[in-house]
Amino acid sequence: MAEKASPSSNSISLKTVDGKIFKVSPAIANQMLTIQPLIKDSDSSTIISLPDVAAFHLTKIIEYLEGKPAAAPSAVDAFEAQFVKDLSPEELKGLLIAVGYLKVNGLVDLMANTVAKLIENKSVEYVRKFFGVVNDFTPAEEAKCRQEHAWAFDGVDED
Amino acid sequence: MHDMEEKEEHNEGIVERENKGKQNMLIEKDEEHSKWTHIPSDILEMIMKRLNLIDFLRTSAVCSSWNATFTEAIANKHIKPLPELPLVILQSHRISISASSILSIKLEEIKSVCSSWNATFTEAIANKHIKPLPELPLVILQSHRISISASSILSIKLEEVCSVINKNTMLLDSHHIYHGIVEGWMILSISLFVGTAKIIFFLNPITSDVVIVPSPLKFPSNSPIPSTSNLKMGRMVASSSPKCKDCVLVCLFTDYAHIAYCRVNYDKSWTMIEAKGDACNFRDMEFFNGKLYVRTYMSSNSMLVYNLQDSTDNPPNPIVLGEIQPIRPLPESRTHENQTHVKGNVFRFLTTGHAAEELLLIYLFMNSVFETDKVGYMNDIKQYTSPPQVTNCEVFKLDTRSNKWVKLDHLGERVIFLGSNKSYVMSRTLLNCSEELIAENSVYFALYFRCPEPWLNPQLGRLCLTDNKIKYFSLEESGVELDAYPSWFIPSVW
Repeated sequence: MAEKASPSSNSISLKTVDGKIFKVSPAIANQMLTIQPLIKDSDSSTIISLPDVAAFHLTKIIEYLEGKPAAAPSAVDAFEAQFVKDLSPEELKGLLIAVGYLKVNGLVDLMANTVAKLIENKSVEYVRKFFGVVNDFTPAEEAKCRQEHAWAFDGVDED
Repeated sequence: MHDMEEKEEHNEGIVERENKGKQNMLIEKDEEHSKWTHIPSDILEMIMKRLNLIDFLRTSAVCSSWNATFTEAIANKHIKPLPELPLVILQSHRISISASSILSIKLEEIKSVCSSWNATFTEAIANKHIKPLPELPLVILQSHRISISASSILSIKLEEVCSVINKNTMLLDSHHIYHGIVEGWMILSISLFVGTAKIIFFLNPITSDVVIVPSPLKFPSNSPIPSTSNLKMGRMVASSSPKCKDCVLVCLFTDYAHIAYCRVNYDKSWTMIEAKGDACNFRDMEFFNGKLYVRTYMSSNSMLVYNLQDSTDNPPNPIVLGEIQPIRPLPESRTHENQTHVKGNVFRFLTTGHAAEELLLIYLFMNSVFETDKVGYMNDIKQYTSPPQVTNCEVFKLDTRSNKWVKLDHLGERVIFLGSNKSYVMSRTLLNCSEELIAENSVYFALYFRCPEPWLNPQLGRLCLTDNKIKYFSLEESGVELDAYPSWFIPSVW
C-alpha cells in the first residue's frame, strides 16, 4: 500500500502502442505476469513499452486490477459481471488479446470465459464475423473441414 | 524525454512478444482483421478449452490458422473441450433410416440434437450419392447415431466396409448391430447369413473413422452350439480405443454362457470362454484396471476377473472375486387372478468411475405387473398390465484392497447414467453444471423392456437417491420414434 501513497517515487511507467504513458503502482504492474521480470530492474525513469496494448485496453486492465474486491467471491462475481457487461464485442476482443499478452491475473480467465460464452452454439460464419477473421480456405478445403466433423455443423443458433 | 525514448527503444527489444506482433502491424490494410486471423494460438487455445465439443469442432473450419491450432490440439491432446453430458441414442427396431434419434438432456427437457436428419437424408437419397438401404446396410449405422449431414467422407468409409460384405454374402439380419461403446467409439456388427461369421467394427461418428476387427467372429465348427440356435452377440466391451495397440474386444453372447475375446490388433481369431457348471452364467462385464470383470450368476453371486491382455492360457483362468451384494429384500412375486405382481425385481449394472478409478455395481429396483399366461419362452413377458417402474437404487463400490463391495450412502460428486449397453459415471465438478441441470445424488436411467404387446416406450428418467423421487422425461414431445431402445453415448474426437 505504501506504493499507492507515493506513486511518483517508485511507480512504473507503461507505454501503450498508441504512445500514451501510464504510471501504475508496482502492486498493479506485478499482476501483469509478462512484465513482472522487468519491474525488478526498473526505476522511476524506466518506461516499459507494450507493443500489443492500446491505451483503452490498458485503462480497462488497470480499472479491473484496482477495482476488483479483495474478499467475498460473490462481490468478485458481481464486479466481474458488471465489468464485462460494459464492454462491446469489439472491446472484448481487443481486451482479450491485450490481457492474454500481458497475462493479467484473473482477467485472463474472465475474458476467455466471456468470449467462449459469446460463440457458444454459433455458426462458423458468426465466429468469423465476431472475430473479424478472414476465411482463407478454398471452398474445397472448407468443405473438407466440415465433412471431417459433420456432427458439429448442424443446428446452430440463429445469429 | 529524449533520454526516456532511448530507454524505451532498449526495453522494447525485451518486451516485444516473440510472435509477429510487428509483422501484423505492417499490414496496414484492415489491421484488426489480420490480427485476429493470426490470433496467437495460446489465446485461441484459452478460448477453445472453454468450449463444448461441438463448438470446439467448429473452430476447425474458421480459417487455416485456426485449423492449424485445432489440428495440433487434436494431435497432442493438450487442449480438450469441456466435459459433456451423455447423449441418449434411440435405436429403432424397425430398419428405417429416419427412425433413430440422438437426444440430449438439457435443463430438464429433452432436446433433439439433430432435427434436420430426415431432410438431409431424403436429399442424399434423391441425389443418389447415398444408396438405398438394402444395398448399403451401413447407412443404417449412420442413421442411428450420426448427425446425418451424409458427407461423402462417410460414404467412402462405408464403401470400404461394404466391399468386405459383398465378397461374402448378402445381408440377412440388421438387428443387434449395436453392441456397446468404448470412449468415443461405437462397437457395431454386421450380420451375415446364418453360419457365416459376423464382421465387427468400431465407428467414431465424430471423425467418421472406422476400424474393422480383422478376425470375424464365429463359433468354431466343433462347438456344441448348433448353428441354428438363437445365439446372438450381446453386449461388447473393449479395454481401450481400437487405435490403441493393446485393445481387447470382448463379446458376451445372449445365451449368457459364452464370452469371446480378441486382441484387435494381434489375434487372428477369437478365443471362447465358456461358463462352467450347471448354474453358472455370465451376466455382465466391464474392463477395470486392464482386467475384465465378469459378473456371474451361480448358486451364489460372484465376480470373475480375467487378465486377457497377457494371458497365455487358452482359455484363460479367472480369479474368483468374493461374493457380490445379495439383493435385500428378495424380490417378491404374487399371483392373483391371473396377474403376477413382482416387487423389488433388480436390474444390475457394472460400470467404472468417471476417470476409471473405481468399479461400481448398481442395483436398480423395480415393480411390475404382468399377465401370468402371457409369459413366453425364456420367461419373456409378452404383456405387462403395469410396466416396470423404478422404485429405488443402491450403489456399491469395489474396495480393491479387501475385494469387498461397499455400499455408498451418498453419491457425492458422482452422477450416474444407467443403460443396458453402457453406463457412465461422471463428475459433477468436472461437468460444472448447475444444480437444476444435474441434480445431486441422482441416477439417470435409460431403460427398455422387451415386450411385444404393445411395444413399451423406452423409459428415460432420473431417480434421486435421497428421497427416491423419480422424474420421467417425456419422449413423446420430442417427436421421436418410440419403439427403440435407448443407450447413452458421449461423443469424442479421440
